[in-house]
Amino acid sequence: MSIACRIPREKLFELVEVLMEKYLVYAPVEKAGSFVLSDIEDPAEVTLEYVRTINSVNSILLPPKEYLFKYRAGTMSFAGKLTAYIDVEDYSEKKEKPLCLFGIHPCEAHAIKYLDKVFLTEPKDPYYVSKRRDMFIAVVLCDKGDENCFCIPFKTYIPPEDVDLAMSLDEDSVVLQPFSKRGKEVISKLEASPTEAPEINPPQRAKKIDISVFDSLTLKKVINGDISDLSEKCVLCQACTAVCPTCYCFDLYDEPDPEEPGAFFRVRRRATCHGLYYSRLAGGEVILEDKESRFKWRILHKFVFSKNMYGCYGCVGCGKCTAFCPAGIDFIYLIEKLQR
Amino acid sequence: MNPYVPKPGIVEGIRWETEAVRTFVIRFSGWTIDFKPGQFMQVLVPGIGEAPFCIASRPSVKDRVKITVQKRGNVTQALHNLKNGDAVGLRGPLGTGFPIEEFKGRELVIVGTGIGIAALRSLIYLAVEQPNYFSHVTVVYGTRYPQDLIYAYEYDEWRTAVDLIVTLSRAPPEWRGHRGRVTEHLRKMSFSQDTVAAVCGSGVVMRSVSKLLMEKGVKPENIYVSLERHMKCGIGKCARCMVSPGLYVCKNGPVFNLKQISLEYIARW
Repeated sequence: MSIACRIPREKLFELVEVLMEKYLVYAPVEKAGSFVLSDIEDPAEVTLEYVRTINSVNSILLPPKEYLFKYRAGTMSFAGKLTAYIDVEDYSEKKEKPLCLFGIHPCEAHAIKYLDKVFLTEPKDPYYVSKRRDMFIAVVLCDKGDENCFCIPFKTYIPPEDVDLAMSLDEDSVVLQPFSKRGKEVISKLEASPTEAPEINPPQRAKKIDISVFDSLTLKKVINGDISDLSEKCVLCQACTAVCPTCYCFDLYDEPDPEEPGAFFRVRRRATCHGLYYSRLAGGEVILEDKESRFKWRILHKFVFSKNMYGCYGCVGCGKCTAFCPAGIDFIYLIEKLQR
Repeated sequence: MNPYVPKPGIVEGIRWETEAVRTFVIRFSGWTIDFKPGQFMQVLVPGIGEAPFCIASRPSVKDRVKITVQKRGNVTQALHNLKNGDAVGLRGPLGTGFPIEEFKGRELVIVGTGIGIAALRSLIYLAVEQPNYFSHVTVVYGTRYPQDLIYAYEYDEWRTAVDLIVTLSRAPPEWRGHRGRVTEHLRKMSFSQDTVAAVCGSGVVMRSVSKLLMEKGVKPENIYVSLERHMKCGIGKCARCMVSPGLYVCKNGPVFNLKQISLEYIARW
């Protein structure tokens, strides 16, 4: 594709500075011993050497808690007749600068593509649209990974074509490969020497499994499979769905505005299928009653349902669900168990 | 247009149907709807929250909506506390509804139990308003006790257009109408290959009714069920209402035929 260039490692902060002029930059930073995808104030905070962040791209595009709009409803007399009104202060357009996701791994960029399918299908989600508009995505190629990664079957270690920039780390330099016009523009502002485009290889330590493991998952197989020994261990902490970059289920509810009596916020909060409330119907009936059904539901949503609804899998193989599970439940072992 | 923002409406009629069920007429303040029987609306009680309700209005009514609400949770409780003249928010019509163009000129059997009849009232009134729309309509409606019956004040009007069977599964001795479950009455009927069915009730009822109708020769693609799930957004985003094999009840439904969704997933995951 296009020609790449090389900058010394210590110049990386300059690239971040250039981006910060135009964008609100989110990048991996180290906090309390974990890597977090966070908005940054100082380019020196940014680190590109990490295996996985504790949060994912969806925590920015679909925040854990988001105020959608404020409203006030009431009635008034109009031409001798009573009519109702709802005054709305909509927050879908309140963003100052476009967002930049800097230094995310290619698998997370693929997660954005999946979320796009959900939130940009008609009717489009205006809150997602405004965050996604003019977003700059700079991925860092993942060379090592760890034993929890399983991006190889999904080929999600290869950046999607619509990212703006791909970075790859050498001993003491960073190779930058622009994928878009905006990517080129950003690089043109740096002092960089031309070089060959980086080779894209699967992360060395990622699990080498075949895609057929996922392709063969069917509704019947998942429903009838016995995974009770694994789901038994679940402590219902819901970490797997909180860290997953493609989990998008949410709840909508009202919250009073403490500063303006009579006004309410409509709030969106991420929801998890591992919670009891998730599938509770009016009157108290719960569809996903036990841990096993909730595990299976997550797998169905990621594979069977997503394939049916969006023509792709809702899993990018980032391995976070396994890595952050306090009960040590291995997602791949779970999938393999369902095959038996 | 932000699909999450509700439009204003005002409560202009409340009817006590049963101890726990009330029917509300909500007039839209400065807007109208075009809907199909089977579609639903998200109704917001300001400060409390939203809940989805089937549109129970006559199909020709555009400037207001009728919803029948059983007291079950926060929002329904708050709705029951509303008075005439109170403001609410509404989004919709949402969902797909019954494919009434395909129903034209055909024999229709409507089966509802309990509060499920609310989702079918609009379809019944399509027959009342346009007596020649279907070739023939049978409505089988069942509840447990006589005090559970809703819309009792308009059965005479329904009977001008449809054959109505109202049956009680736990009828008291003094009850002079039909007795037994809806399936017991359906079992005595015969249907053609071309018959279409619209069914709404609890999951167990929809399953047993659908199964019986199939045994009696009604094709699965002609049996339509109206499902209930925990819908939050109503526009196919929040994924709370998903059903196997991967359909949003709010967007792809809530009305499905039994080719789209298999019998076993009606009331379970």
